Amino acid sequence: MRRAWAGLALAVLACGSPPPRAADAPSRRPPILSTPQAEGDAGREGAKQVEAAIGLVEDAALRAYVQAVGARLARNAPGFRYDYRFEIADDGAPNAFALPGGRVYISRGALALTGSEDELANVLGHEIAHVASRHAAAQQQVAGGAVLRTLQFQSLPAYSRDLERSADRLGQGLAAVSGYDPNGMTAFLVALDRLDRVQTGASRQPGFLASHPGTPGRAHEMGQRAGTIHWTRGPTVTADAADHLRRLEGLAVGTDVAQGVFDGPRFLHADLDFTLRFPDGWETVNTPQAVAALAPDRRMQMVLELAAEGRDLAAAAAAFEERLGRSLAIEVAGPVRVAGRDAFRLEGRTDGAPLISTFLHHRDRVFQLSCVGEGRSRLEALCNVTTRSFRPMTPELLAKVTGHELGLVEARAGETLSALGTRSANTWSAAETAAWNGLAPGAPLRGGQLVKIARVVAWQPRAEH
Amino acid sequence: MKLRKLPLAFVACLALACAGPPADVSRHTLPELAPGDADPAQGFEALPALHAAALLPPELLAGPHHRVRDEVGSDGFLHLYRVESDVADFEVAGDETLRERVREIEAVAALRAVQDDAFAAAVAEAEKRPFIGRWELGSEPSDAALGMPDAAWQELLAIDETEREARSADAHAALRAYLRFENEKRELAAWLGVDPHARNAALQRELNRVAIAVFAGGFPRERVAPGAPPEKGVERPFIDEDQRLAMLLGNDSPEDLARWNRIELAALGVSPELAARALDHPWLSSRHRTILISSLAALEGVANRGALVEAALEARSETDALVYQRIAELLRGIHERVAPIERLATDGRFVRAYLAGGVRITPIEVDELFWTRPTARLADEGAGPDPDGAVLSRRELWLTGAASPRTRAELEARGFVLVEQAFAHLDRIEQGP
Repeated sequence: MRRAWAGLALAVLACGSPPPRAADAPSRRPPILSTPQAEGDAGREGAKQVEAAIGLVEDAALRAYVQAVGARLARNAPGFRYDYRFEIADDGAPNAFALPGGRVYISRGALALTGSEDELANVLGHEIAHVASRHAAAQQQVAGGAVLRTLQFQSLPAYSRDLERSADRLGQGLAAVSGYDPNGMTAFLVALDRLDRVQTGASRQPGFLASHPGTPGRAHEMGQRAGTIHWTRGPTVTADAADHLRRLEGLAVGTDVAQGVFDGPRFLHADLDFTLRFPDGWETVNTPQAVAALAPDRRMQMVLELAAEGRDLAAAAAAFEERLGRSLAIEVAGPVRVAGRDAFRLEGRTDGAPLISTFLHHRDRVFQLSCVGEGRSRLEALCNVTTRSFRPMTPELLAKVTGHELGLVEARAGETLSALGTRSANTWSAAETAAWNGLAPGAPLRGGQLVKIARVVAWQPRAEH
Repeated sequence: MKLRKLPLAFVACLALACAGPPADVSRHTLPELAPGDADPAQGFEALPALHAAALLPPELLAGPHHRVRDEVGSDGFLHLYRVESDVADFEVAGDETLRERVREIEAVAALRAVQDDAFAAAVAEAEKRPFIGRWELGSEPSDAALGMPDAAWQELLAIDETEREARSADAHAALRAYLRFENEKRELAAWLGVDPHARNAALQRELNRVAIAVFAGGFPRERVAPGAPPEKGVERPFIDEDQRLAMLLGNDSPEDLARWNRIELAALGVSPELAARALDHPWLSSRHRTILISSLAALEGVANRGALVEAALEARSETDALVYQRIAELLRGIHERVAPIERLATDGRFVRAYLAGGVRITPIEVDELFWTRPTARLADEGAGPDPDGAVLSRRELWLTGAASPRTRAELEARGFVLVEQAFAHLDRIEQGP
């Protein structure tokens, strides 16, 4: 959940078995991508959705680096009608994707996995190939129009085998003509496969950067192709791989504490200075717009979102009513007291399902906790308990807000990853460290070799606090 | 955006093209006949008297703006036609090239037919725009293929060299005008069924003038292209390389096609030097190049795909360019529908495809193959030891057209397996029994 107001409807948990109808994502027919103009429009609309749902890494220096590498590729890329833009998606999982019209995203997880500018260029080149080949338009026609899906980043439809292989080939060619080593994609895919094996016990199949054949097969195929490509090193942004790694130092790894963290059922948001406890056993999810929980039987859900800046509870409630329009039937509305603080409550039904929304102000912001589901009395009881749990952070809770960031350590000659991990307080296992560094497990380290590690970082108040 | 500087050879071609279609008879793809090469006294087949009326369908034989002379020559490989037209009288080698030329003649006529007072007013209107005004449409465009004088082209190049953020509003407007011009030209060409990048100077001039009058002068496109334009690739679902190719040809500018081709050639393992020569080749139009390179890209896993690029670099006419394009398409069809090709090789003119089990296929573009000295030489060389030292179990010749009975017998006597009407043969394989 982010510090900025995002204005989310009740759409966070559209997953699993059929949720309450109110949880359906707003259905909006995607534009038909038949012209560059339509692609640009769809891309801009998609960017708003994706950036709201996932968020962007705001590190100016790192963004500038990714954009500089992207610009080197774009100069040689077809589709000069496109306004290529490159951003880092605030997602800890290794991922990358592109939207129609030229928006290319690499997740901070994928960025952290790269070991050199060549690898980064190849990943971006692959995505540029999807854009310039208008694969989204192809996919839209094959999938019957479902190109963009709100709040389901992981569910963006995978491209067909042909399109993926085409992007592999063209991305590698683009990297080569832009002066980058086409072997970079092979190195990245090998590292990705090792990480998948460590984290899930298996190679990746469906999803981003995966298709048929699976990741190992693609890495092999791209390695073979790279061996035949004639290329000449062009001007690069970084001096060498070490320079690339140093630019990544400090990048958040895994969950970013700035978005809030879960401690069991309790959500802790240090930046916004509040905590909230959801019912035990509920499935929880944290997105840039909202934090939410879904009952085990999936018949009830709760969503906490930042509704407005300021303190005007009634205005925030009115704005919510207006936003939902006819789908919301209010039965009771008025001020209430919750755990000793002023609040505003709406009770009614949305698309036939009981709804209770409570608006609370805290540090000049209005928060909205909405409970939707079947069985009004049980819903009300659980909703009241959760609403009352909303309170400021305490020093004890703040101490629990920790995350991880990417660190760099110089290896000693012959040192093992285990030994390096122990002396550097690395929170990754030796196997994870090997995967994140694109190393074979057990490979001896060279003296002075830079090794990526994960180190614990406690929450620090932001400068403006 | 990176506009390509034009090679000197290209400019020279334009200068030579004058106002009519390019000369098609000069070529490299196939040997030319010398005196005695078709002399029965020397053991060769006398070339028969051929008649256009017997070879061509009525619409190709004559139309409102052209007529093919009935006497048809042959060089032993391709039919040689003489065409009289509103544009110019010219010679054409090969049935496929003839089809292209006739479409171009019809297109030129259609484009000229709309150039009335309203058209002149639209041109005048277009010339009020700052950048287009410098194209000097009222007079003859100095560079027929580009549709603008060299000074305007240089202006675009200078803009292209400037970073996007540093460009002035005028520069952005000039680039937008150029892109809209390119797009309109492709749309018109698609509707008229011609290659927007053809070397035919008369076609280029008319396409350029009408495209500018439509996009910048408000001249109604329906005057030239009534009804809906033909579908471009992007209008259809495209999930494979064929559909991607249609989308590229229908939607991408020559600059974009050049970028695609450069990237594809790199991925094919073609050296940057060879790639640069292919991209600047005067006779390979953007369309020929893109189809040829896309076909090669589809030959996944085939070694030495650059061999065909190397051979195509020797093209010295549009006929040659078309032949190499069709050879690439034929190789792709063999690879995808018959059996995987393992590697390619070339002697600089013909391309050989090697398949598993010692099978070698040599594709040759012909209308009708006669037993002449060049054919006999080709057959004797092909029947001898393989130039690459390959141990062959089977030698196949795939002809895009037919062989005369004598040629068929001579080739089979030398151990060749002959496949005639190769494209139709591939279609039958695809359709199944």
